Amino acid sequence: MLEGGKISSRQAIFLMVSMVLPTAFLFMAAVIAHLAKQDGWISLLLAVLVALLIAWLVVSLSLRFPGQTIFQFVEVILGRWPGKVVAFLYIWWLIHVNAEILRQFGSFMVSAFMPETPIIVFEILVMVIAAYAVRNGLEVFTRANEILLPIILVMVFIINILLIPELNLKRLLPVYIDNGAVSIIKGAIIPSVWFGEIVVMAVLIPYLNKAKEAYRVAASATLITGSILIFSYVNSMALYGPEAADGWIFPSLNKVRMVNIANFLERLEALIMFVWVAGGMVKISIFYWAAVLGSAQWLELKDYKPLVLPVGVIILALSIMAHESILGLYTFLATSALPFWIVFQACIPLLLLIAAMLRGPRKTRH
Amino acid sequence: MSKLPIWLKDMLALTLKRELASFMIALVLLAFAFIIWLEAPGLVKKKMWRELAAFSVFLIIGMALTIPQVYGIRPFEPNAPIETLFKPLAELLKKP
Amino acid sequence: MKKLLSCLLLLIFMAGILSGCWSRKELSELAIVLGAGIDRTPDGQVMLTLQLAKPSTITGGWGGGARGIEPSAWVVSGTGKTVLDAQKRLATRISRSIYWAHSAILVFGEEAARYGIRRYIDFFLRSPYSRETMWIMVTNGEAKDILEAYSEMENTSAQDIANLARSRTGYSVNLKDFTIMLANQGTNPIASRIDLIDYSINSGGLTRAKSVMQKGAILTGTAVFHDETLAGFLDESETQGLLWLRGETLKGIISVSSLTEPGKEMSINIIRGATEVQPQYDGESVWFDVKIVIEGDLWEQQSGEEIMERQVRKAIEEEMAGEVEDKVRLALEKVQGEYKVDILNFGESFHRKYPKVWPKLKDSWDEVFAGSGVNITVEAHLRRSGLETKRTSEKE
Repeated sequence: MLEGGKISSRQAIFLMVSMVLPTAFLFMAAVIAHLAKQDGWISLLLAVLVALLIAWLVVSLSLRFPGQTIFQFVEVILGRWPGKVVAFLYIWWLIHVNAEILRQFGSFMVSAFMPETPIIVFEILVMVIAAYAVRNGLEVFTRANEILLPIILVMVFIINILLIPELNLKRLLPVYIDNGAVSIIKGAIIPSVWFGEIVVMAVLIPYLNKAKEAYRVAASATLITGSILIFSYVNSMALYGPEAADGWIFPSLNKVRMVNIANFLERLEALIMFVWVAGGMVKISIFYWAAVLGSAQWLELKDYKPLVLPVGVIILALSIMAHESILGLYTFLATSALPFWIVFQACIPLLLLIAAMLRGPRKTRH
Repeated sequence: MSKLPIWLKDMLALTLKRELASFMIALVLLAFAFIIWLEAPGLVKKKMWRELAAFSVFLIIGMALTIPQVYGIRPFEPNAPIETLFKPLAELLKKP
Repeated sequence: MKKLLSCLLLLIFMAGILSGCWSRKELSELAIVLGAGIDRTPDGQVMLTLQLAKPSTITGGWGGGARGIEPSAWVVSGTGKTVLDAQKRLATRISRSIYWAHSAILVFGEEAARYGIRRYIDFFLRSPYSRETMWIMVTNGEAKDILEAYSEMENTSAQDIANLARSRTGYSVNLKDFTIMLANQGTNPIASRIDLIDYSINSGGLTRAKSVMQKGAILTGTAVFHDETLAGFLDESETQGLLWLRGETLKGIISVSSLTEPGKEMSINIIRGATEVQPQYDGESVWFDVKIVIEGDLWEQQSGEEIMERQVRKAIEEEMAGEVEDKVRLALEKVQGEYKVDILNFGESFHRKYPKVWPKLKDSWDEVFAGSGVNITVEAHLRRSGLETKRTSEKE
């Protein structure tokens, strides 16, 4: 067995929430506000719907091949060699996404807190810890996440609650008329792609204790993440208003800096740093694990552990090579990355599902 | 001297200019050696040849990507094909 | 064994990094900025004035007689092409690294404000070190002078001014709200106005009775902007009217003349109030219905009316309403008539009520605003009268 770990449904939900929440929470307000202004919460609602569709798609596909990850069943659907090609593409995609996330992670720490530190320092630190986590197996970082995520959620909650004195809900008006459907739909695209990262479940499902509950896991994770993000977005809009929210790179950071209760509770930027470091760490670990597991399955190895460190080096190198500045990263993530990722999150799974259905009715469980 | 390929000239020029590069490259090579030391003996002992081969290939790719960067040279642009492929869709998303 | 070694290496690595070695800031190496001022020099450059904390005098707590003359902050100025450029010049004079995180106020000199404020605030928004909670102020003169001012109550004038702003006796705005107003098309920004006033200080002990003239800071009203350039100022009465129109900080004291005994006044402390602005549009002209409701307690009575009587109270309430309406009209006149800028968020209200009409009007909104009619209704309630029903000092 390559990966002996088994995780419970609840752990899986936690894992998926940790996967989507930190990056979205950090960047989302500005990116969506740029397109949909004060109606961004409608965009987020749309995105949740789209996300549920993608989740259903991925889970349906995976459940047709119980006990197999996407790297394995893609060969069953398409045949050995075409399957290997697609599997390779997925491995490469996972590594690429991880490189982008890593770069985001480092960029945040550097831009917001320690501008003189070279970005690679943060990246190496994260990768070393993530490598250790991944090397120890799925169960390990899943259990760590079980502790971390509730703390992260408490932080997010505190941040949003403490801002209530500074909020002005009227900034959310007027609804819809200003922006029109097109802008709102455009605004929904970015969060849809973030939510679409749930496609990683295609690698995770075989390791669930009760695979049947996979639908519930995916749906719960999406809905939980969605509600937190909508709440946070409404909060950001009420704080800044649509025009001003546009320019920030890390709107959540600026949000936290506005907290000032009785002149005593202020400068709580550390809370955001916690959300990001803990959450980012888990997210990187998940994608890292999936990429390494995939590589091992693709090469039909007996164990994936030896591959952990080399893959880590590749991710690290890619993250530096990919962009010269944070602005390039930001633009890439807001534009070209989206259609590119949708291909892997929705298009390929859809095609695979159709192909699988054509191949014949669902196999009976073994 | 001028007969050397450009990339090699670049590397040498940069090395000579900054001794920092040689310090960095030593660190990087040390890191790679450390990685090999961590994994390789175990694999050899357990006779996991296939895994060792995979490990080596990935590590070599990693080295090929990392070492030029120490000298400041980017081996290739990983996002360029993506950007060109999806350019029209990207334009759509830019303006509100 | 391998595990142990790797762990050890990791720990050593982390210990070095966790303290943020590249970005470390030792307290003794910092020049803490308490307040900053931006002026525009005649040749178009930016003059940045920083008020830096002098650690010895601040940690010393309540100093002795020497506090009279000795300033507890060091004020330096430098010029440059941009704010950051000026800061760079200052760095050559300041022996420590400039640390913005405690900067509480940002003062703009009149020249800088008239020239255009957007270019000066960019640095403060972009830099991760400075905060969006800084109070923005404008002065009638040079910002430099304000920062060099003296303070009786606090250690430094920057803290003094920051506390003034925080108490919201006039209109206070922080950088975040200022930026929102600047970015928003339906409104124009406003800031507090700060000026200098003369103090006479007695310094020295019994042996030296010396009188020294110092200048202290005082909040004198509001600065009105037309988008990013300064349009003018509102004085204190007009500022009160402004606050009522904007529906913010409806507390304060209003004084009304006694009805039965001319020449004597009564003062009422307003505890709460609410303002409602309803924009109206009939396809052609725009007007606004403003309704202000205030509640107050009578806290000082120079005359001897019987406030136990209903009619007397009603009359006082009408006087209160009249007083508020006068102040509001004063402010409106200045804002609509003289400066012609919408600083009352009327644009935003209009936008919310008539979102479809807004795109047509928004580009020339200030003109539309200047020409629109405003109906004001004030409702005043006299609720309490402190601890007395009538003046207990009255002879029966």
